[in-house]
Amino acid sequence: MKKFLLSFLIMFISALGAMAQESVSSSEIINDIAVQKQISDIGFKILNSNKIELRMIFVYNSKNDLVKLEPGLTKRQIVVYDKNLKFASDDAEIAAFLAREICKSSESYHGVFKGMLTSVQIKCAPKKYEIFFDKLAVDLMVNAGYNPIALIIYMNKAYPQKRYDKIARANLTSKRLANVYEYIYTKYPYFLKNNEYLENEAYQNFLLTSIENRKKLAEKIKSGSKKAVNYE
Amino acid sequence: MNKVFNKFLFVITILAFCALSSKAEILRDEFIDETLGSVELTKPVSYDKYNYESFEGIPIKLKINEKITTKKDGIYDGQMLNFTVRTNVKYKNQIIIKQGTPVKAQVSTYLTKGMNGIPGTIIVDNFQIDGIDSSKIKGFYIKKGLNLSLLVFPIKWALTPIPGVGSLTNFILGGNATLSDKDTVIIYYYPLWGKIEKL
Repeated sequence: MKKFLLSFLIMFISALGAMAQESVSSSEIINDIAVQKQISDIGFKILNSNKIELRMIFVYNSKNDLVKLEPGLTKRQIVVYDKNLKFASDDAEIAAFLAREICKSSESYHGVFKGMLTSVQIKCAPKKYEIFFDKLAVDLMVNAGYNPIALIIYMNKAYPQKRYDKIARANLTSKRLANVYEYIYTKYPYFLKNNEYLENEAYQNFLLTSIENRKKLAEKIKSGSKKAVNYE
Repeated sequence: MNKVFNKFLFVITILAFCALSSKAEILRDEFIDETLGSVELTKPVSYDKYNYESFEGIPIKLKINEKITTKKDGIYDGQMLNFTVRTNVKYKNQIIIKQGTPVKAQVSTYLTKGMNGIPGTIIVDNFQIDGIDSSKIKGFYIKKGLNLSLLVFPIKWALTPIPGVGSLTNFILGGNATLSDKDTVIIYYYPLWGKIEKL
């Protein structure tokens, strides 16, 4: 009798464990489906609004891959990891991340060998293309009805600041932010004048940390110069 | 009763002062206030409603009036460009755009030529033609310079076994992108595209 009760107890406990595990995994799946839908909706909206006739898909991956591959360039599969998503607090900020990746994937369609050479170029010289894609992302966002200042917010939250960028594979984030700010000022000043994000803490921090770069832009505007500003 | 009311007033005043002072802590973008404060601006049009039932695109051939190039100081973001329509544009046997009609456009952005044979790139968008809905004109026009990467990368990879030699190919630059009146810029007009009310 004791043996029977003991084995029944063990079976009951293991069944409870399995049930608990199942409920956790199904709640994770439900969450994944919701996030996946949100990402796909935003991604396809950007593609459609900009009349981009190139196929690409948007995939949510909650686990971060150990090896950093670029499926956006090879398979035109834009992967959004949790590490990217956790910095986005609204649809516009998710759109900011996706718009940048869409620019990269779109570029990989053009050129010889069905864009393979362009993909190698982007992979070999990421610094060269970084600010170029940032600016194009602003255009895509505006056409899709998103506020481009969300790109500044997202970048200010998600990308760290290195010491130097002279001999590096990436630009300083402060330089990228200043270029995006200037681009919005030049092409879409409406969003800076009617700034919905002015009281956002990340934007306030951007204003605090970009005083010198914004002074440089102010001098350029006052002088009427068309030369590119050397931001830091 | 008066004393209670006075205390209440005092507390309210202190609270209001605190609220005001916390509001004042928000940084203003003084540069924007100074330069755009008195300027009337309209919200840019977004194209988030679309109808792709028709894919009938009518080509519009254009030539640029003034040459632009990605050479140093030859171009800048947001630069306004003037084009002219090269030939009459017909739709349903009717001329909808006459030859010589002026067209305005804007440099979206550009990429200067780079190491490893990377070519310069010019992207032009925001085409505006009188009497034509801009939302029915397809997005961007892209012009690239001479792409030398096809030559550079095989040489680089062939020379890589010899230490330090493969990297020398990094210094081969691509060509500048130039848009002159010799180039025919073709953009497409989709008369049945654009904003629709019902989706």
